[in-house]
Amino acid sequence: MKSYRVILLGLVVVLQTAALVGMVAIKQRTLITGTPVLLETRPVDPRSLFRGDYVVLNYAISSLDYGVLAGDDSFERHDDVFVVLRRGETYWEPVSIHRDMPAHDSGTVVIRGKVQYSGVWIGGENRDGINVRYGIESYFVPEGEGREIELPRNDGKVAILVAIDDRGDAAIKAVLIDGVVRYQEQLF
Amino acid sequence: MWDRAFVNRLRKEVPDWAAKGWLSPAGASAIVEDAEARLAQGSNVVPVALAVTGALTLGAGIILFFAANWSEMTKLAKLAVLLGAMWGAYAIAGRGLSGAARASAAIGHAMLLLGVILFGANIHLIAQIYHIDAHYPNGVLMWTLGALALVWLVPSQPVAVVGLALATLWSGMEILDFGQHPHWPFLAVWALYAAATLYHGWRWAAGAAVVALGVWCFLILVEWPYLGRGAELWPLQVFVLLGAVLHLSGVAMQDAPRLAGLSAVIRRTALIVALLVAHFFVYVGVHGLPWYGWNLRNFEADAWARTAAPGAGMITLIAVFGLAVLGLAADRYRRIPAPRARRDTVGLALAVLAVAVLLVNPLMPGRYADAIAMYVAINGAAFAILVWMVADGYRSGERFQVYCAFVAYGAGLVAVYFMEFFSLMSRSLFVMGGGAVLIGGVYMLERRRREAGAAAAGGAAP
Repeated sequence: MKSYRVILLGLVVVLQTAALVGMVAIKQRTLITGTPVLLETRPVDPRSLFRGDYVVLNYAISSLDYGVLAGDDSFERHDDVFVVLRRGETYWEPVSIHRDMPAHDSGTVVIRGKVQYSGVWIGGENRDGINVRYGIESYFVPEGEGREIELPRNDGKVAILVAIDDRGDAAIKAVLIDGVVRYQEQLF
Repeated sequence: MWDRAFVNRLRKEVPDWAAKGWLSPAGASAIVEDAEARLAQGSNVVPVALAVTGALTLGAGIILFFAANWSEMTKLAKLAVLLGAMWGAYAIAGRGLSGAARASAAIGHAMLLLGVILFGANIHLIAQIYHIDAHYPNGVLMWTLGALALVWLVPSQPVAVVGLALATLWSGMEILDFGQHPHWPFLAVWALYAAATLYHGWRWAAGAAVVALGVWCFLILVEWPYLGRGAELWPLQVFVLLGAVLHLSGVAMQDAPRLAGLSAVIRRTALIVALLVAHFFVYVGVHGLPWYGWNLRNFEADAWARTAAPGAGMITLIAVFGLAVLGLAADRYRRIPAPRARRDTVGLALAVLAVAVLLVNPLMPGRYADAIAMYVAINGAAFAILVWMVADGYRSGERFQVYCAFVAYGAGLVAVYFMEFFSLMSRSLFVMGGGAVLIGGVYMLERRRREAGAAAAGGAAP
């Protein structure tokens, strides 16, 4: 192998490393610059293919009812969707749904997601709406602890603190059980 | 490759050739000694295969080791382990590829492969550590592109094979899980891998490229029914013709010195793809076997008669691929030597017949009576092509083609037994008729062989 091949191999290693570091950097950007938003959730607990446990998080804002929310109302599966959120009594709640990033006031944030399917089950009945995935639906925890989050003691409530940046991307900052931080995200 | 069976055969044959005066005794001894020496040297396939298997096993072991101790490690330690393992593999690869020895290069390629595997594992584990839950096919795309960079900048055939598999996995996720159908970006990535494969003359990667394209076509085929009820037949036709185009392209490569080494693997792999899709077309698409219904679920016994008319785009695709088949077949016919031209005319005529049937088919009115005529035409053309493949395979010494034709014929018989279109009596007559035609064909071939042998010997038939 000639020396220039070794240099090219080094270039590939740098590119691959940069791609991996870039994944972390993009996530950290959202966590550092994003607006903190507390979301209501109801987790379940499948096993990860790779290792450890992870909880699948189903948010109150995952099911959106066209009849209740303003904005657009004809989304197809896999469409991009932008949801305007406003702070409620405890949790942030959806206000409107849009195809494109909407203009919004300072008391609101916009979270971006993808439509999973149409038709939602809310309050025991089938409604005209969409189920949305925001990229914050799974959270890895140490092995054996997933069950504890799924069934918190003393009927405690699980909430997720997320950061939402100016592009609408979201990242999990912390997991709270009964209002107490149980897991918090750190760079290292 | 100098295999033992070939050398043993040389040991038996060479003394006869020397006795007939075709070889001098010294030349005969030299040929056998040279063959034995090459056999003793061995092939580079074994060290490469062992090194690649070792790399895969080592990679799996490393991943399992850290998986067992993952919870106790800090994020920084996890990152150090993940990146350190990847850098280490590439460092060893660099040293291995720098060495002059064949075994050193084999270890170098195996370590490159391990590096790519660790790059993919790192993508998924870093996503897990930092709770990155993005559009997950993008992770596989990133893995694919990382492998592609290695394929182009540090040429490695094993990495190209793995990269093509990853590209297919990525596209499969987009098609099946996210409704990206057809997923055209796959073709761009595939073309970049295929270009490197052709440039370096990699045979294994060439086979992987044809298989990847075939799997991608199949995935599109599986999803096509969602485009509209009754539109299932037309993609099958497109892919039968695409397989034929690839096969004939492989045949044409025989005349290009730089690409001749890839010819066999491309035409053989394309042959498998074409026959597999043709089987679905003839025995599933046309007759609608209920036990194949998982794929083409809208089909019933008279499905073809009810098939929706193809759109202009589909007709264009069928026409383009059909004309490509005819053009490549005619080009092959033009290039063959004059004494063989008369026999190959049969192949050209069959290609014209098959393409004509496939071109007329989309334009047929959807009435059941017409459909029966087309069933017979399609089955007849398919059967004639299989018989010709056997004859041509024997004549040209392409045993793989003969085996493929017999396997396809056997699969057809099984399909005929289960299909609903014929009664049991009709099936028995069909199968008996097919058997009689085959026996007749074998008799004619054998008579030809004896005549040719007699002509060559200048005496009576053996």
